[in-house]
Amino acid sequence: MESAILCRKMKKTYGSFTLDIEDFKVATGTVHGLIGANGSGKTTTIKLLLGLLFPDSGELSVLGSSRIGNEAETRQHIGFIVDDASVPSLVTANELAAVLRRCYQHWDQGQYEMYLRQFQIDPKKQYRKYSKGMKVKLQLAVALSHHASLLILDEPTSGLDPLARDEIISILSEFSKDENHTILISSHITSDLEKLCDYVTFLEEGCIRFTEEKDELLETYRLGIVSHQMVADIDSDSIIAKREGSFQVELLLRTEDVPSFLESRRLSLEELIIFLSKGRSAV
Amino acid sequence: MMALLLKDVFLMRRRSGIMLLAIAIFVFLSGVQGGLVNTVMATMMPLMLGFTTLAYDQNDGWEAYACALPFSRKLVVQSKYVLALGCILLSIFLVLVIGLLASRWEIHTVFSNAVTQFVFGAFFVSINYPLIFKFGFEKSRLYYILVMVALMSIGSVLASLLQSASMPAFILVLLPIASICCFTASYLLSCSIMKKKEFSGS
Repeated sequence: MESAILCRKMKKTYGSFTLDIEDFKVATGTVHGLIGANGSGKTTTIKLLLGLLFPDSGELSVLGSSRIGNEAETRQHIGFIVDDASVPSLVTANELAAVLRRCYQHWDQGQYEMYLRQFQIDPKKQYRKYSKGMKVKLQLAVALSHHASLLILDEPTSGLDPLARDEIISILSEFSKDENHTILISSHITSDLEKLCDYVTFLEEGCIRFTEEKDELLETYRLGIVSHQMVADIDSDSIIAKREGSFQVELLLRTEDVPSFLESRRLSLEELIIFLSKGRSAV
Repeated sequence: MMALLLKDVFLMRRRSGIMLLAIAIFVFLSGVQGGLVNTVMATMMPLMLGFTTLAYDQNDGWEAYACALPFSRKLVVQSKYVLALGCILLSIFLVLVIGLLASRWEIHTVFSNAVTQFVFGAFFVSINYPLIFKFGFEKSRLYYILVMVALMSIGSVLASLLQSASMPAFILVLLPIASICCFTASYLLSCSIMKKKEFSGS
């Protein structure tokens, strides 16, 4: 499968933080989620991919371009939302369109206006007067109105109410139906990613802990809940992570290792991530 | 380039209210009374509109946003210098119109005034823009004040020289050439700063 995004042995250090990505690929036509706690390196990764930061070493390729920061042409095909980068606060949505249609070769004014209507964005209101949700929606409308083949979205649903989040997830889901469309989306709201993503990459302290196909990942693990006494009956080698409570112990096991006497259930992506990041050390 | 300039026009339109009044006052005073302070202020005020767009760009995160759009970083810098040059030329034109109509300036006054405005404006932009691109508008404010004071001091000497009849004519040609060189060097320096600039956020 062709890669829309490719990073190999990519390092970036600033201050005391180091992002160290050994191997990261986003296949064309897939939705790839980037999960991790605050400060895990999600935004740094996204800024590197958009050319807003430059890697200290290693390879980076976005839509075939290894010099994304200095290659404006490739950016014609990328829609984005990124932290700390925003449209001018004093312009209206209409004025923004007048600017951007002179910038994007494939700007689709009809599509933009359709999104403004769908999101109920007043096109004559200045950007600074929109609510947080409206600001995100306007940026999303921009990202979706120039026939981009790749969307790179940094926390697009953060700070939004559940209805707005659902609306955005639905639109992204619709966008992803085209097999030439690729989405890389970062979020710490894992339930959003669970609905949307084909693949997930978990980042922790600047390093990739794993990249997995989402459904396969969720099928691989089961959560078993046992009493403290019963833990001894379970093969300790099969316990991947555990979390001890006052009355019971939660165990993370591979599906094939779940003993027949143990009641188990599938985990949500959020539970799994918490287990893998916190529970592993408790084994 | 048109896209970036258009964006700046939209910003300036919203932030120009009181500034337009100030421009009108100083252009009028410069054209009628002359004097270094009036001339400098008539140049400064339109330039401040350009500076305001830079401040808003950095504060809003537009500088980073523009660098992720299909604009080259060189173009982002270029548009700011074109805007500044436009502001300088506009201020010269306005002062000349008032000077010629109200004070019936002689040709020597026309040239010396235009040269003073152009030299002041070009040096002001040339020194400040690379600093703003490098350190950001907020951190450059101290430098900006220092540059302003230094240019005013040099300008007062320069203006008295320009207005004296004994002033060699070649100075009137040499000074704009020097300021054009400085403006070009400043643009190239800003391009180089911008090319390496990283937007790591707060």
